[in-house]
Amino acid sequence: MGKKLTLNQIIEALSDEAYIPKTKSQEFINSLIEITLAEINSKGKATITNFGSFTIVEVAERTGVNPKSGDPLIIPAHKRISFTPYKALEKKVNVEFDHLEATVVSADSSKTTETFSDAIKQEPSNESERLLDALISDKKQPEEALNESFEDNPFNFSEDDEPENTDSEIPEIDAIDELNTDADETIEEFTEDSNTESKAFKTPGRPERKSNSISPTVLLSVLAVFLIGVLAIWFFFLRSSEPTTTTAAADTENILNDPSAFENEQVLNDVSDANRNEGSETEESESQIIPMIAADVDLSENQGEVMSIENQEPQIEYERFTGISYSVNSGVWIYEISRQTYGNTRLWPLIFQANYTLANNPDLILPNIELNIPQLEGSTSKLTSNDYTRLAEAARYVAQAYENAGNADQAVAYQKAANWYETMR
Amino acid sequence: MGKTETVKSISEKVGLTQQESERIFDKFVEILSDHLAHDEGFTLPKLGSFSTRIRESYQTYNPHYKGMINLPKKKVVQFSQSSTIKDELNNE
Repeated sequence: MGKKLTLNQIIEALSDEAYIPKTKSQEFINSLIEITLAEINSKGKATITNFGSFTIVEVAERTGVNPKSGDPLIIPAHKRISFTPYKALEKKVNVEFDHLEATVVSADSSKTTETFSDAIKQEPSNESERLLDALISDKKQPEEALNESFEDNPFNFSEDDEPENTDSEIPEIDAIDELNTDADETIEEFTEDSNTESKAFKTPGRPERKSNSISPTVLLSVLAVFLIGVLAIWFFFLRSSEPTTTTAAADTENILNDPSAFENEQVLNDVSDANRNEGSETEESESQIIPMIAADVDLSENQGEVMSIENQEPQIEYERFTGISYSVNSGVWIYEISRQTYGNTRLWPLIFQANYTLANNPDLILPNIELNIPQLEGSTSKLTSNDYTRLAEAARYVAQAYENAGNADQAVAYQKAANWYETMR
Repeated sequence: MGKTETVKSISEKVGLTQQESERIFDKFVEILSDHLAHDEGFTLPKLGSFSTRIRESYQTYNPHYKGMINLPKKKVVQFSQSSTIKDELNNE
């Protein structure tokens, strides 16, 4: 699906973005591919950092079908290169569906498709799932929920037993007995927990050591996020009263980065994530009874405030950027101004277009006391399509200015840049 | 071989400073990922072609959770090896 990009377009894009001649960018790409290939051949694997890694995989012999004649055909064992994208690339590509999360399949739908042996293995976990679901969604009495699932179990087994296994009934019964005792144990555990109102939420049916190791980390993470949130708010209110908004913005940026990094560490896989969510939700419901964990309820409010800080951030940036007077000395590059204001040198054509005429040489800009810095619709790292349109216009403008100044090479380069920005829309 | 080593050997081959080639390397990777993020595929000669496709949601067994879970829809990078490297690997 989607468009295909030719190698030439990549080479041109690289030369435009990195400000290097086309020949150099071609040489660069070729040598990078050469090195990667040599490494695959010599070591069996290679990586392009931040992009992905290649490994040689052995494929076993298998029988296929000749698509033309329909005859069976033996595909001999062979080697193949497999590509694994870096997390960063994976995330960048998957932005559209990033909000979706893995969900546990409801016990009823999975039971119908399972064989009997599977049912034995999966019964405890299904039970726990239903328990959790019932607890979280309906906030039923735990005893009720337990009884429900407990009554279901023997019923299912007796149903499955009759048609399939008549010879080996004794081990089957044993299994049921074990399961029943298991269920008894879980009931005891569960009621004990709810009575003593301990913070650790034990999930019945799961191995005990697992649940013990999960609950402290959940608590720790909740506490840490809460602390960071309080610190962030404190910093924000303390510094925002001072005239220098730049340091405040920088500080909040740092702090806002921290929780996200912390959360990334926590979210090691979907399952632990799901566990954590369930854990925190149940904790919140418990905290209505226990004043000790009342802080957790505050946490959600704090997170809301942190979010609002995040939303305010771009506005602070714009206040910083617009209407600032730059006394441009001769010798100050316009790139430098772009870097100081937008945080990226590539956006300087916007400043040039807003402040200078086509008669100016972009390389020798005249002192202009009040430089008007145009606002971006998006942010520097995430430009919107309108921003790209404006950038393309600005780049054309710069190209024209370079042509007027007699710098044909740069004019061509910026014309290409303009085309490139148009494709990015 | 990590990034530094790759960058070092490229800089020797192309005749750039290491700083310069590291900058270009980062830009190159950025360009490639930007294009993939915009659903535009490309081919790196001799290596293979890259494109994106949507992987529909599916159910699978999770050994940690001991139950079936539903993995959501996802857009993934698809790599298809070139015929040159395929022959090179299998004619040894």
